[in-house]
Amino acid sequence: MEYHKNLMKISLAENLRSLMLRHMFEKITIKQICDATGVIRATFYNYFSDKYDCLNWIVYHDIVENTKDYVESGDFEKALTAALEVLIQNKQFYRIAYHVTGQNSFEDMIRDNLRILVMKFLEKYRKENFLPQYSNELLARYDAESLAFNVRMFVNEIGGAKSVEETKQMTLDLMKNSFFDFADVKEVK
Amino acid sequence: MWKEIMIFFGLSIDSFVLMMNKGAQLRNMNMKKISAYALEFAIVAMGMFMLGFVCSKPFMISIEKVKIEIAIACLIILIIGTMISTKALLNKDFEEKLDDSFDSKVLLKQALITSIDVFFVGAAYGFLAVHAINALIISFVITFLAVLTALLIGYNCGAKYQRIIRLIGGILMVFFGIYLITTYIVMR
Repeated sequence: MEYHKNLMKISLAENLRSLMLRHMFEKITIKQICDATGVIRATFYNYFSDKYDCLNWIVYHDIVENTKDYVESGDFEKALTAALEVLIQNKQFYRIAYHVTGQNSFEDMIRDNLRILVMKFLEKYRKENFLPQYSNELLARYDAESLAFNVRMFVNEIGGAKSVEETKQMTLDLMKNSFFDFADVKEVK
Repeated sequence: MWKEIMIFFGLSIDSFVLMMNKGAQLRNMNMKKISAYALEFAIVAMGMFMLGFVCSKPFMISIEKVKIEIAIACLIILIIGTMISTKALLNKDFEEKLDDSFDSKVLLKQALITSIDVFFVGAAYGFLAVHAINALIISFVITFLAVLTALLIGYNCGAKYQRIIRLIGGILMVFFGIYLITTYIVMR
């Protein structure tokens, strides 16, 4: 039953993904998604509250679900590679999706799902007693911001097209090193 | 009689669009539910018409010049038409989103708000001293059918064409207002 439910959810989401390659997101209706999937409106509402919810689920599936096993084993590098590979496979879709702006912007969806991903890591692998005044939530939000910046650069090829390997390396470099490792300024305590 | 049909058709456009949008937001729908909603909406519209008609009576006594009364009636219809058209042009596209909170109580509130224009048309009928029974029956039938159809269309096809439908309704009302002014004021 659960398997069947998940299959339907994937089917609805994948049909939205392919519709977005042909139509503007704003013009896509729930009826179009339902027709493409061969279900009625009630079925769509059983899984998603609207098309934005469906779009958010696609991002969740690609970024969080897809990297679940690596998060469990604590392999951040592999999780990052897995997420970037999905992004490059669906580059056209992600580029189009970035045009969804406003209250339910795609950028926010990316950021929020990256926050979930980082949060899952921190909940399991947070170093004990290392700057405990900063909560997991705060750290997850901070890192999600910078990861979202990298994702946007990668998908939209800002500053030239980069491979998965190059982007992964850049992301890791920027996460490992702080401003004080780059700037030759007077160290602060 | 066609005048009444036209005017209530124009008035029902607003309710039609509202209910079409609502239809696109509902998860579970069946004919029994839809008919009950349509019936409730039609009764409210009828009530508002009657209220408007009754409320206009004291003014009829105080205003002696019939032409002024007719002018007010025509103006009301014209303003409603302009308001509906403007709403169609200014409103953003409707986002279809699940609404599980919708029930007959919510419908009652929405029906009351949407039927304010029916109240004014009722008042206009009072000013014009036209027999209201026909209008009352037509109002009920048209509103019932409009809400029933709108919910069915909204549920099955979504709310894609709501803007154009609203615009047509508004323009229809404006034309009808101009027609009334020409017939009752300019030509007399």
